[in-house]
Amino acid sequence: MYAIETCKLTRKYNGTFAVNGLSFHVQPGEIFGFLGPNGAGKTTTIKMLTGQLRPTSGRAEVMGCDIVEERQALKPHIGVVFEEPNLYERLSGRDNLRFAARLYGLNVDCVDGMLERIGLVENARKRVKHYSSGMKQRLLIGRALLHKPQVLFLDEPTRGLDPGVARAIRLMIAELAQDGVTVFLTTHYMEEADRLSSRVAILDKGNIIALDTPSAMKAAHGAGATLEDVFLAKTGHSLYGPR
Amino acid sequence: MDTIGIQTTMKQTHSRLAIIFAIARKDMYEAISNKRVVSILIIALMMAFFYRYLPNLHYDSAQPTVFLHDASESGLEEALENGGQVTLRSVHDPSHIVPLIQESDAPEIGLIASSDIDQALANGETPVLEGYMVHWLSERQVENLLAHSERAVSRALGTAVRIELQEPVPLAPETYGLGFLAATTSLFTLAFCGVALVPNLMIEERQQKTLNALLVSPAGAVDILLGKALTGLFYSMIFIVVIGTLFYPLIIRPLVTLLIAASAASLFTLLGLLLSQIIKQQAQLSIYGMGVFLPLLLPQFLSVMAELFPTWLQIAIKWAPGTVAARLILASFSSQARLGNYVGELAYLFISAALLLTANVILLRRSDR
Repeated sequence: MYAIETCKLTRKYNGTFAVNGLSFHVQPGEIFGFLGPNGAGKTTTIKMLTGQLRPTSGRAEVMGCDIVEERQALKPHIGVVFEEPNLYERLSGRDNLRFAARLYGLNVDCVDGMLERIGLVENARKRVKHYSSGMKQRLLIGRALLHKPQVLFLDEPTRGLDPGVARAIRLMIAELAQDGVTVFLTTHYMEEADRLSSRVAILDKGNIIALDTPSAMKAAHGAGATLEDVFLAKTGHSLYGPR
Repeated sequence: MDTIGIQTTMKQTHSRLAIIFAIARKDMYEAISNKRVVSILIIALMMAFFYRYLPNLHYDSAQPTVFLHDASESGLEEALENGGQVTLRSVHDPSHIVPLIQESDAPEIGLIASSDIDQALANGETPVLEGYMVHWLSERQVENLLAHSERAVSRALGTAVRIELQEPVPLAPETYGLGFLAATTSLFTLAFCGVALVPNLMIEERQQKTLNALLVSPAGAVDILLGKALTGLFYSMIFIVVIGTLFYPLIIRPLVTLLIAASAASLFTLLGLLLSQIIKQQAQLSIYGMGVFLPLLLPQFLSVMAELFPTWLQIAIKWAPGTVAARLILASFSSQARLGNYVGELAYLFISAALLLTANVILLRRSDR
């Protein structure tokens, strides 16, 4: 069974395709990168795969659960870290995790272990509004992992973070895969996709324009090629917009 | 359904209840550090205290109001008027004494001086007057008012009198006075809670984007809604307890009053949740909230002078959600109110709540996808 499998997944907004006929699969335990510029359809794809958005057409399954028909059954299998931090700022880090634990029917005792894992024990009692962006991101990951999901969706997890903090987050992501968690990672940082992902899908204007291992993609475009070179060759424009 | 099926259903129900309570618990805990929530609570509590002690602004214990029907030829009415010890209200028909007393919002007494007083005065006996007071006065208030009235009447007649207190006057199901004030206070605070406080619960989730996190968790759209409704009811219960404490002498059937107040609170909570699904921003809440709050409250104030309006408007005022809720609360203070007389109002309340709940679920599910 694939961890994630999609077949012609499409989402249309007012006649415009945000995501157009995506077909791919993700193996269990894989870190799957979804690379593309802003507006490519990465977040829309994550929203559909996590049951937040109904596809216009096509289908997908996550851990064998149809994202439309079995949306409720899907939820215990997935963890989601959204692009924008969505924590309860008036609550402490510990209380945020405790709330998440109660939602998943877990014993709140598991929160202490998670706080240790994400390195927030000392700041556990502090209100989230006093957290740095790196601390918030770690807390978000901790919240997403609390119920031990098989699939973790990370939407631009290092966006806006300091390089040092971003590096720590990437290390954390790599460790997750070693623990057997399937990671579906969206990013517009090529280096991140290149270093972390076992396979990468490059997305542009709602379409997958390339899907392979980073090394294979780069090799196909010549020695020393980067993923940006791959993107430029496929689309005619840079990943970061017009030069 | 077999045993395993029942167990599964029970387990699922238990999980959903746990989620609903988790959401409500989080909201209640978060409210402590939410300045907006605390401000709204304080404003509503201040209004409750204001309405409770409003009658005290015009009440003068040194010159309490006396409703007097004087059938004697003793000149009592004129003597009391000139005596300056009471504020006299003459009543021509003795059958009007009790209804007037029922509309008291402060300690007042109704006196009936029959023609027997003339005979008693002529015989040198102690004249006896019938006295009427509302049931919600405290023992001390009754004693003070009785003593003061006896002194005033004795001075007016030039001889010691005795006022024989009749059975405490119960509130009528539909009357003004303190009962009406209590019902209006309840309406104000519960509607304020529903319209000002409850929408904040959803709007903040949306603005903080935590609603997305909730929707990918095991919490379903209905669970989130019920969790917020439970929080709204919790806040409402705080107000119900405070108002019950402020107006406790009126409460003769605590369970009935509590059930009706809780039903009204549920209605306003669901209205607030519906508002929260239409309003996306805090800033809009002030405008839309007022647009909802005023039509809830205004008919209750207009009901005082309803006879001045055309029939269709009287009916509209009578059946406005706010006046229906207030009328039921007021009826619960009266031992004369019969459940059968309020079936229409109760049905109105429950059907309205059911419709609001359905509308909420539909809107939330639609926005969910």
